[in-house]
Amino acid sequence: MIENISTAFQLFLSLENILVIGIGVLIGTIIGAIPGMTTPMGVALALPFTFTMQPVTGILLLLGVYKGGLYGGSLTAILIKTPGTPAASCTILDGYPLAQKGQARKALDIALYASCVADLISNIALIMFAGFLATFALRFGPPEFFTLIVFSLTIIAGVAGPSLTKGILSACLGLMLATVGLDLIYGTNRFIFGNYELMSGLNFIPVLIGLFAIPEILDRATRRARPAGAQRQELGNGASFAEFRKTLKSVIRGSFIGVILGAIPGIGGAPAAFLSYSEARRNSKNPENFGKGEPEGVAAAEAGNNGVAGATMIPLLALGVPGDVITAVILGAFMIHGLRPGPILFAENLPMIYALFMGILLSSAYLFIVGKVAIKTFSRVALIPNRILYPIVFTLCVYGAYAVNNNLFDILVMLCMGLVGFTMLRLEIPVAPFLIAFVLGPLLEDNFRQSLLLSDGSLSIFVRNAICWLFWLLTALSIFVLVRSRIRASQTGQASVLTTGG
Amino acid sequence: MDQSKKKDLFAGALFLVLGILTLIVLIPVGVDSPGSVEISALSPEFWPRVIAMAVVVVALCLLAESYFLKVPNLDEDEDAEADAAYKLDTLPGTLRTVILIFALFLFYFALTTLGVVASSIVLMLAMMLFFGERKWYYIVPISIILPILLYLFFLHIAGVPMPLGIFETLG
Repeated sequence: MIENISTAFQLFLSLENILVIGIGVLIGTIIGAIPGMTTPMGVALALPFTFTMQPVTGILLLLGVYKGGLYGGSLTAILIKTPGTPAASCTILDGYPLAQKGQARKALDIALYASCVADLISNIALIMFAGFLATFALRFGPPEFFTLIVFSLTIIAGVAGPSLTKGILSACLGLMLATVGLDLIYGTNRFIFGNYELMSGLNFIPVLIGLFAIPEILDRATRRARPAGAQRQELGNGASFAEFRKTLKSVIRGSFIGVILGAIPGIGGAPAAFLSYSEARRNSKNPENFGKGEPEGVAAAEAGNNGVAGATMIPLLALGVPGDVITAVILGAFMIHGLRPGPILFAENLPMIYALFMGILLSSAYLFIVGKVAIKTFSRVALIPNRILYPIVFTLCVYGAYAVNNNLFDILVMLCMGLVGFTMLRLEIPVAPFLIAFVLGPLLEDNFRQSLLLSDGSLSIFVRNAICWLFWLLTALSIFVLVRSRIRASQTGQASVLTTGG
Repeated sequence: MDQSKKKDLFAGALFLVLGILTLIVLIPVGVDSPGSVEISALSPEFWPRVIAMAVVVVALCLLAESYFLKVPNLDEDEDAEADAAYKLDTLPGTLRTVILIFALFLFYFALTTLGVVASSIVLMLAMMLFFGERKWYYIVPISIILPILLYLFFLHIAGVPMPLGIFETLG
């Protein structure tokens, strides 16, 4: 244990690592603050720049972008009523009214403090539970992993959009695309059609960039720039500690909501923010103030939103199963360095995990510093118009896609995936299940076939023990809940809170 | 019938056709199976077949869903009218998208001869103009400096030389 920790310190303690987290948080905050750029897009664009870094350094940079992005979205939500990220839309409810009253600085401060506290709680939860879960998962064999992945994909498909069926279709498309290349067991060709570039399968990064950045750019061609809410000049005074302490109960409640929802694959920031907000309103002495500029509302929304950031890493690190698009990208970063998160990584590469934990803890502190600076400066950055921003983003996409393998074919893959993503955007089919299924596809198939090898082809191996049964049961339960809420939504005409993520 | 319902019916039909095509054309043509496979479930074509069948079944569910259930309102686009006015002022939205897609693929073919840097400069210029930016003191410097800076970054820091095409001698 002690030996592991001291090795971890050696891995972690370098100027590079300490700098890179700060840079990550800074980039993330800027990207998060820019309406039209989402956090997954930011992480995807940052990924190619991490290829040549050490694994720990590269992953810490991406984590920094992730955490910064979650916070950055609230800056513009408060100042100009335009959420930088979907998860920040809940912050608008009370943040913008506060800004209109000339108390923008107060709202921004409360959002920042709430974000930092929630981030810290979430990180501690990650450190406490990931190792525990990984030890438990050491008992998993191929059938258990197969059922676990089926369960995760079901949830991801269900909560990524209003319709479970569309989510599943999206996931199937991702699974199908993942089969392109050489067969895992027999080494024969699958869907190559004589094109040798396809032999090693489609590369993850061009697919990712194509799905998450190109459709936005194409869509921009048809839309007019949205007029943002007016930004008032005076920011007012900051929040005092006493003011923040009043919201602390909601912040802590929101952090735990974030941690729990974050640890379940697929749910993510937006539902956590809304749930935390409605809980804060329900428990407040003056619920009628909510929506009119109640600092507690801002705090609750931000706490829920940032509370997921550490927790989403629990299933990724302990089980190797990403819960949302960003952790799927981070999984991709692990794989580029030849690492596979999951129980084996804990068993064989513990110092590396500890080094990551140290960096993650440091990110909460960076978030505070960057946030304090950001309040003044970055609200301007957010005003870069999309007509200048999107050509820049496209150029970054092209360079990034090429740099993966020094291969022009990857740029073509990216463009084609962009068209697929654009079609899905138009048909209102969520792309998140597609990407996550694409990443998990080989793992799912591999576990499926290994199970059948073990059982000589008998399907009974998929119900061989209580763990398998548990995951099947959870899958059935989530399908039931999702279908029921879809039928209810049809009757009332309102979508449920859980499915507004995506 | 409202817009969302139409989209869902179309999506369901599209996936149904894709699933059936995969089953009867793509898998038999595209997947090479070894001569003898002891357990049929381990054959390379088994897994794609399972997914394609799932697509067919779920696509049928989507068709039923869009036929029987109402689509809940998420965020209705409040500015639909303003958007329509905008489209009348400029080119119609669909045409603009088609032009952009065409330009992006043209860009890909330009890459092979002109290299990444030169084509990016031209594309960025064109794209900013296309999206409606008119201030040349933004357009010109950004579209020239950024591709060159990125080229230098990838060359010196990441060790990836971007292809320069016919400008290879300049690099």
